[in-house]
Amino acid sequence: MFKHAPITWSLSLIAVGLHLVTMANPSLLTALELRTQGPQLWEGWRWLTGHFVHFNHSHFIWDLAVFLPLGCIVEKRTSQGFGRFIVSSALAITGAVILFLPDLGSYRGLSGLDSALFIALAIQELRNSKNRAQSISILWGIALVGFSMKILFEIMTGHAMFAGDLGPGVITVPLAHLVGAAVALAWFTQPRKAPIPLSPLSTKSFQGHARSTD
Amino acid sequence: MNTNKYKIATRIPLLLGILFLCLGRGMLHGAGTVTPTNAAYQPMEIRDHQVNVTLNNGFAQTEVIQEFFNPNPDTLEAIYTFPVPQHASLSEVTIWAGEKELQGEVLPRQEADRIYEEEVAQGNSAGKASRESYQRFEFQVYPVPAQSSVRMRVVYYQPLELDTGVGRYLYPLEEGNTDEAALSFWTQNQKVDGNFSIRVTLKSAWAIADIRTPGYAGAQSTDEHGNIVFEYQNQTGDLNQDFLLYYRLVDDLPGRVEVIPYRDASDKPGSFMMIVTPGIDLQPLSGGADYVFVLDVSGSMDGKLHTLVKGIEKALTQMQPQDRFRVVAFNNNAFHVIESWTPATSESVEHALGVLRQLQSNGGTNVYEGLQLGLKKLDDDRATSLILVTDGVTNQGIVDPARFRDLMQKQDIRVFGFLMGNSSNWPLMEVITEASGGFYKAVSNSDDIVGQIILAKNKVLYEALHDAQLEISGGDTFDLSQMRIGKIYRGQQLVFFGRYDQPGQARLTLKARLTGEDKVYQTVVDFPETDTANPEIERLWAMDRIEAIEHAERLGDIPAGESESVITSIAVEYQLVTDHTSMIVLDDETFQRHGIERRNRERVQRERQAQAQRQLAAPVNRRADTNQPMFKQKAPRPSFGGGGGAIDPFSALAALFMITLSVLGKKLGLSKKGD
Repeated sequence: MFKHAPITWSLSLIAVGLHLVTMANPSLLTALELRTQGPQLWEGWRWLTGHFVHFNHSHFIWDLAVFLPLGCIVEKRTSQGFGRFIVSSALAITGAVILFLPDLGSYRGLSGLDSALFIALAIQELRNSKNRAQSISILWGIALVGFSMKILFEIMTGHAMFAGDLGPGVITVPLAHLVGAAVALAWFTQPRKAPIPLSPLSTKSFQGHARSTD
Repeated sequence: MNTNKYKIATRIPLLLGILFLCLGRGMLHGAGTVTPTNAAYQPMEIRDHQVNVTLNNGFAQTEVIQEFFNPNPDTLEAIYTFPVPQHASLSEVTIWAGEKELQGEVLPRQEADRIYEEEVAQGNSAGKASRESYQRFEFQVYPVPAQSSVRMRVVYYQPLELDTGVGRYLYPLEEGNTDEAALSFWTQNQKVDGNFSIRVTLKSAWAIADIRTPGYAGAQSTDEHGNIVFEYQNQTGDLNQDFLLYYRLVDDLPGRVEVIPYRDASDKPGSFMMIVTPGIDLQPLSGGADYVFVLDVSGSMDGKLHTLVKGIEKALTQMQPQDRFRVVAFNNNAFHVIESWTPATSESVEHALGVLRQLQSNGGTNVYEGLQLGLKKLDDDRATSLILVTDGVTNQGIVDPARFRDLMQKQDIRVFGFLMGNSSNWPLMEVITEASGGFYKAVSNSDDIVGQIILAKNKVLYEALHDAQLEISGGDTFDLSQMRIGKIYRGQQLVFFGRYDQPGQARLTLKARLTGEDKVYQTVVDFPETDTANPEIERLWAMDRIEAIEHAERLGDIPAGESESVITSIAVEYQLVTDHTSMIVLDDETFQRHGIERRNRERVQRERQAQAQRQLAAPVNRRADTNQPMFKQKAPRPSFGGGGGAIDPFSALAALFMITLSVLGKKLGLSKKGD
């Protein structure tokens, strides 16, 4: 498992570690979250660490539950540049939050990266449609449209379509989802010198068994 | 008939009994039936506990229906107590004993006591509801026959306030541990053997963005009128965790004035509730500030100390490095925890948190000495705020509220109070914060402490309006709430009550100072000739009036005898349970025999009729300044608590489904042949 998606597993383990440590010592949260105001804005580590700390257990569990499988599958199918893609997405989300939501105060959570990974997988699946049953491609198309509509709705209305659980006074940030999706769209649809290496993944390989090259 | 009367109290968050430690949280008590410690009888069983709440724009109606079962071989008297929810006006008590239905009427307390004792002595069915200061309501019911059930229905009303667009409704279940005598006498059964359900209907003319019920995983739906309905149901639950419902209005609502009037005839005075939601551009304060934390570590804080430390921890970690802090704690005496002004650097905050986590709760409560020590070493060149965290149960040193007022008025310092737990001494906290131009928030162990700190931070770290005063010209208004407001903080909503004689237009003016500049905000509101949609407003106005008199009495501004007489007169007229009045619960025949006028029956009929009509209609927008808005700006957004990239469960499951499809596609035969 680890060897097929080392970055995803490492980041997930970091997120778990940070969650456990910050639950035991909440003062660390304020040293790691992204700040949109004041001198802490310029503490560079927050631009990345902010994505890996969370407001509560529920926030953490749902974010990670999506990040881990998505990351594993996208990382495995992306022969190179996955790390750069994750870092670029994280920094783009950070920049957008600081630029457009300076009043937010603080930002935490993996879901901007979840969005990026989801769009990345959708693009991979649609590009790989020649190897897939038509029904799968249609489902992915629907999922992509549904996801876009959800983000659009959230951006326009300013609140989440489905109730999240971040605590009172803490809001969900649809902008992070939009920016994550935009980065994935730009990253995975740009013209490349060589075709994006896409390999349909077997169940066995996803579960970490050795497999031959496709 | 059993002459060995034996008192059983239920659903109280009172009382001693089963002590248990829960992850260092100390002693916790929940609601439940209680019996005297070492009593020979089995405690009453709670067979059913239903709570129906309607949050209707400006106020909440809470109805509690409970069934007790007496498992003992003898007939008993039951006592049922629960903490007094803040500003609550207890209005209805109905008891069903066998085939009899008993209803309540408010009388002067001594008269109600006498009638109850007489009826019980004769073996007749009777009940009584009384209030013990700010701590609890107490209900007595007799008889509860052996192996039989008695049902009781209680209704109370309370005004609702929003803070930065976030509303908070509390149904108190957890014991506040503030009554030591009761704690040492009673033992408790907090288990519901039957159905425990809570249903909240949220009627709001303004769109709701979110609701949240920490710890209570219920179902949320929308009824045919667009009202949000929350339902929680459980079998065999424990009544030991407060029920809290937060609701957040959508962003960018206008600053506004809402008026909810009641006037049933043109020859009688009208009553009104006025809610002012300021839309004023208050800027963040720049530069560092000093904060002194004054923390209650007395015995009554047992079970709340973890929440206190959690809150202070959050507050400290939200401070800027240019800020400084000190920490004082008190029980029988006050002492320094962090003595000198300490810059809020990461290292010093970490050190302070280490010290705070070592605090233990014990001893009495000397709030005055804690405040005195907190007020020392102030730096005249820096803005200072004092954060007082206590349940306010003063039992050591100076306890006279007037002395507290004098102490706070000596210093130019704002006090922000966090009042911990149920049955806490909010009247004293009101005196302290009012004298210093601060504010206080009630905090339950079930509260989102982070959210409460964030909302408070919005007030502490932003400009405030000073010397604010509201004036109404026209309408022949009288018996108004305190209109000299003092300071208005960011996100604060103002709730007033009053009466009027003259229907028609009245000019409403809010005068204040902001950074040395005079500010005037004006609008015109309309008092109707008649409006019978909200008869509960009369009781809420009357309760507000009574609380103002109690406040004046506490400060020595009105002699006790005079206030008792005025309060009794208002409470009997508007049928409210106070420290000087009780509700006697009898059947129609017995009321007639005692010659008791049925004022409450008439009032309850009016209220029920109005409630039935309101139930059939969508919520009415009571905005009174639509044509001439009082404020040009929008009400502040509740967003400064931060934001998160959050995947909601529905989206997460949808994404996981797609992932599974992707991974298992081949196995499931969903890939093309040859793949």
